[in-house]
Amino acid sequence: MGCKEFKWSASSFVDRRLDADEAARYQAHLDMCADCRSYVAEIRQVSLMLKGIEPPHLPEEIHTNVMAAVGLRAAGEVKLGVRVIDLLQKLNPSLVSYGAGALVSAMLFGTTLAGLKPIPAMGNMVAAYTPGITASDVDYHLYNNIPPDSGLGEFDHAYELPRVVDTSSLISLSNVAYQKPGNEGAAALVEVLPDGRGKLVEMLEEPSDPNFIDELKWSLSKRPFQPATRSGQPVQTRIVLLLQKIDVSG
Amino acid sequence: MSAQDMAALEQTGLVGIEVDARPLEDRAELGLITRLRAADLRAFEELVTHFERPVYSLCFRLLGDAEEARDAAQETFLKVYKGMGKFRAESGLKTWIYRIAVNQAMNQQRWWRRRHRDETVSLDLSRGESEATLANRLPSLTASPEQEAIKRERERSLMRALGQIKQEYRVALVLREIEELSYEEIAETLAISIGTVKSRIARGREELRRRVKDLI
Repeated sequence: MGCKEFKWSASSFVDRRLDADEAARYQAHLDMCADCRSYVAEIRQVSLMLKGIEPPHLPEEIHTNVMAAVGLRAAGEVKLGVRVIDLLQKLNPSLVSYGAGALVSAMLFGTTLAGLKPIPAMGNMVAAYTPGITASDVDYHLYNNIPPDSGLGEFDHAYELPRVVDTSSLISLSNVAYQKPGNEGAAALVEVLPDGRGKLVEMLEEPSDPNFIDELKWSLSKRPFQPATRSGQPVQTRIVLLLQKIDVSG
Repeated sequence: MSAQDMAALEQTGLVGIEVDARPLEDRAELGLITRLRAADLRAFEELVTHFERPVYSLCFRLLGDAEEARDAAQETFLKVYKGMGKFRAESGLKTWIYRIAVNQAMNQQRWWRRRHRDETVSLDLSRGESEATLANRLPSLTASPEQEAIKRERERSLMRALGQIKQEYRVALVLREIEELSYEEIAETLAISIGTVKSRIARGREELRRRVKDLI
């Protein structure tokens, strides 16, 4: 056995964990090897230093806190939440930890989502419309630039003009336009289809931001209208959409 | 040795404690366990009184922070109370409680390390309020303030070094040197073989020796 092995056994030698033969061989080696003797002395010194560490001051509240908690348990006054956690931990502590983590993540995610509110509609300032306007046959024909029906009186049909749905994409579009800096103005001839979609027929007044036209087309495709009706049936109509905004900031 | 010889020796008082101590301890422990299983609160209080100091000391040496050690010790006793029904007495009550304390401290340390990566044991020790630290604030009858300061500094360096060695070596060393458990008790506490205990203690002492060489 070389010094390396003897050093490895030094700890067991110090703790008297070697059997009699091993201990005798070890002692014989120490008697003739100053290096190993010094090593064993250092290991013994480390052991003594650790043994000599002063004990820490015991906080009195440990006893009180533990007995109070146990007393509550014994009296069955443990809160429901604590009982549930205890029960779950009995089943599988890891799963409970993962579950708790997932729950907290979901709550944080939900809180974040709840903070993301849609841009508030700015009322009639942005997209004014008049609900439920009825009109006569004459108005309808004039409005749509078509010849009057022959043989019908002025009020043979009940017409209702198309309306912009108040939660529609057009409202959002007008809000976006309002938030852009500078003045903005645009006018477009739009065909309102019976299914509520809009179709851009012609830009009557080009906006300063060319992207606005694409945004308008996208908004019109999202059924932003309540279509016009004739005798309760939806019909196709044309309207002129106007956007006027004057920047008063600064 | 015959029973008569034993009785004679016991009468002389020479070997009485040695021979009878263990069975008496076992019997007392068994009685305590029985009472604990019957949810006897006074029995549990006896247990807390008996073990609070070693359990707190163990947690303190493993965690290096007084507050963390207090929390770990409290949690340990609550787990002991809740787990008493599962205790089959296959291991000793002491090693079972120590095992819970070690696991609790280790779990807590994982969390603690994540939270305080940059803090070291030395910083924590300054909050430890060991008896030595408190005592050293007062003039000692045996040692000069200078000697006390040196001793305190050596202890701090030692604990700092202990906090830096591998966790499994530290646990084995603390149980062996500070809590004075036998190799068998350590093996039972950590659920490892005696050979592994030997190896961990040897490696721990070697690592610690290299770190505190200037103190030796």
